[in-house]
Amino acid sequence: MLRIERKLLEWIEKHMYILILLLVSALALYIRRIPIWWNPENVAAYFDCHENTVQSFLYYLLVRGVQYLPALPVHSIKWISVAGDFGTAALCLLLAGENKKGNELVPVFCYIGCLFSPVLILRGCVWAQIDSLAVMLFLLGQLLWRRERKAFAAVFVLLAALLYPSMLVFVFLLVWKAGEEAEAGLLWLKALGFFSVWVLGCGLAALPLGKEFTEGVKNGFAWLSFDPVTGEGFAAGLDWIMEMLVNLGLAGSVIVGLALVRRRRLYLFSMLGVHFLITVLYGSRLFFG
Amino acid sequence: MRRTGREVGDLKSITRRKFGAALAAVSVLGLVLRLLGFNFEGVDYEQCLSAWFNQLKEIGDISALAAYEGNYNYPYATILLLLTFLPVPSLYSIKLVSVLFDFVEAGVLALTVMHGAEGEKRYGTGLLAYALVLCNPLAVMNSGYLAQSEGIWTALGLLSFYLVVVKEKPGAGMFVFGAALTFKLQAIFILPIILIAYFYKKRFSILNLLWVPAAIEILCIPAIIGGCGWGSGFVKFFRLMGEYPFMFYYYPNIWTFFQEAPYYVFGTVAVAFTFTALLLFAVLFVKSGKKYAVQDYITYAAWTAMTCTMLLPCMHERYNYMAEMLLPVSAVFDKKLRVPALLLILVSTQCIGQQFLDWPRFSYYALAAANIVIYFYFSAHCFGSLYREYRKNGGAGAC
Repeated sequence: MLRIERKLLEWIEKHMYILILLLVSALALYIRRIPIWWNPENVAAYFDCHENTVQSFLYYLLVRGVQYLPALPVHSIKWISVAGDFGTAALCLLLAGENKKGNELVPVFCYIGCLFSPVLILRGCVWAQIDSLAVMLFLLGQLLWRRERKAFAAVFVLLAALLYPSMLVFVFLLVWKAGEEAEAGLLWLKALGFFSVWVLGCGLAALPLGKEFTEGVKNGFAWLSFDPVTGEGFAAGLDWIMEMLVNLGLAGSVIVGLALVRRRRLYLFSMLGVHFLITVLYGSRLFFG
Repeated sequence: MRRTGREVGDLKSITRRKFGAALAAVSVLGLVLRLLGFNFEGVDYEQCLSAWFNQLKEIGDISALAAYEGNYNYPYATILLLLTFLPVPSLYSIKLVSVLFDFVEAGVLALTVMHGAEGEKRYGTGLLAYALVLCNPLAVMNSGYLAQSEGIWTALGLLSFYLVVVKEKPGAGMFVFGAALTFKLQAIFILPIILIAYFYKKRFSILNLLWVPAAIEILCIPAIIGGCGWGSGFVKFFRLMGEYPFMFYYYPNIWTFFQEAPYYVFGTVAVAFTFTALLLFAVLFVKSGKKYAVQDYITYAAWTAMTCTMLLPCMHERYNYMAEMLLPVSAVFDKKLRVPALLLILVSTQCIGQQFLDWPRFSYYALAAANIVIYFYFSAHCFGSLYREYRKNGGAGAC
C-alpha cells in the first residue's frame, strides 16, 4: 500500500463519523431533489382550503404564505418538508446522543436512519406533506423539556400540534409517560391548559383566512373524521384505521425508533418492520391511488 | 453428545482420504442432479442463447464476434463461439460450461471455508460447504435446467473474494474480479465486502482496481481480433445498464410493493438507499473492534450481496444467486442463520420454478414479504453482533 494512501485511510477513519454525516446529508439532499417534480394525482386536495378543509388552518396559512415565494407552491411545501426531514434527523441525533452517552455510533446511525427512512422521503418530498416539520418541532420540544426549559418546550409542541393536529396523540402519550415519573395530577392539569391554548390557537389561525373562529376549532379535529381527499366522512372503519395510520405513520415511526434506541438492546428488526409497513402504506396511497 | 453452535456432526473423523472419496461422491451426485435437467429447454435458451449460438455458428469464424448482438459480453460470446466448433448440441455444451463453473464455485467456497476452519474439522467443514453449494437446488436449476451463467460469474466473484480477502493476493483477485464482471455486471455485488476489507485491513492498495479494466480488455482480445472496437467490452456494459427501467423486475424484493413507482424518479433513490445501507455496515464493521475470521467475511459477503439485490431496482430473479450460495455456507458456522438460509433457498427456488419451470404460482407479494422478513432478520443479526462487539470494546475501532 502507498504511504499516502495509508495516511488518507487513517485520516478518514479518525474522522469517520463527521465525514459520514456530511456525505449522507449531501446524498439525502440529492435524492430528495428528484421527487420534487413528481406528484401523486390527488396532491391538490391537500392544499385546497376552499373545499376539503381537513388540514389545520395554520397549515393553510403556510400554504398561503409560500405563494409569495418564487417557486411553485407544492415545490415550496416539499422543500419545507425537506428542511423538516433534516431537522428531525438532527434532533434524533441529539436525543439519541443524550440516551447513549459515550456512544457515538448510535446517534450517527439514528441520523442516517431517519434521513434515509423511506417513510420521511415518501411523506415529505414525494407527497408534499409537512409531517416531518411538525415532528421536528415536537422533538425540539421534547429536547427542551429534558433540559428543563419547559415553557419553550410547550411553545414548540404547541406549534407542532397547531400545524399538524394529529401530533396531539403524541402529546398525550408524552404527558402520560411523564405522569408515570412525576406528579400526575398537576401534569394533567397543565396538559388541560395546553389543550385550551391549542383550541384557542386553532380558532385564531382561521381568522386571517376569512374563516370563523369556530370553524378553526372544528378543523383541529377534522383529521379524526374526514377523508382529506374527498372532504367527506370515512365510508368504513377500515378506511378510518388506514387514514389514522397514514396521519400518524411518520411521527409514529420516528418516535418508536427513538424509543427503541433508548432501550438497552436495539430492536432493529422491530424498527425495520415498523418503517417498512408504514412505507408500504404510503406507497400504496401514492402509487396505487 | 451436547452439540454447540459450531459443531456440525462428527466432523473430526473425516480424514484426508475419506475427504477425497466423499468429495468425489458429492461431485457425482451434483453432476447427476444436473444431468436430470439436461434436456430441458428454458425460455432464455430458446429465445436468446440458441439464437446467438446459431448466429455465431453461421458465420463460423472469429469475425462472428463483431456481428454478435447478444446481451452477454464478449468473453461469454467467445465461449459460445468456441462451443460452435464442438460436435455437441448447443443445449448440452452451453450447460456443460455452466456446470463446470458450478464445480469451480463449490471448490472455491470449500477452500475458503477450509482456510478458516481449524485442525481436524477442516475437511469436514470443507466437504459440507462443497456439498451445500454443489447440491444447492438453485445451482442445479440454474446450470442443469436453465443453461444460465450465474455459476460462472459467481465462481469468479468468489474466487476474487478468496484471493483478495483470504489469500491477500489483491492483483490476482482484482483481475479475476474483472473477469467476473465481463460475464455479468451482477458480479459487482462481491465488491462491497472487498472494499470494506480493503479499508479495514489496509494491506493492499486501491490501485489494484486497475486490474479490473485490464482484465476486461484482455478477455475481449478475441472480439477485438474479430473486428470489434478497442472499447467494445466497456460499451457493452453501458448498453446493458439501464436496459430494464423498472423498479421491480421479478425478483421478490422490497420494490415488489412499489412496482408502480416511476423508475426515472425512484431508481436513483434505490441506489442511494443501497449505498447508505452498505456504508452503515462498513462503519460498524470498522468501529466494532472485532477480529474477523474467514467465516465472518463469508457471512458479511452474503449480507452485502443480499443487500444489493433486496434494495436495488431492476433485479431479476437470478441476481441473488451469490447470497443464495453463501448464506447456507455461513449457516454451517452460525446456527442462527440456518432457518433463514433454508427459507431463502425455498423462496428463491419457488420464484425460479414458477417463472421458468411452470410450477404452481405464489403471489410475488407473498414471496417478497418472506424475503423481506429473512433479509431484516439477517440484517438485525449482522448489525446486532457487530454492535455487541462495539459495546464490548467500548468503540475501540479497527485493530
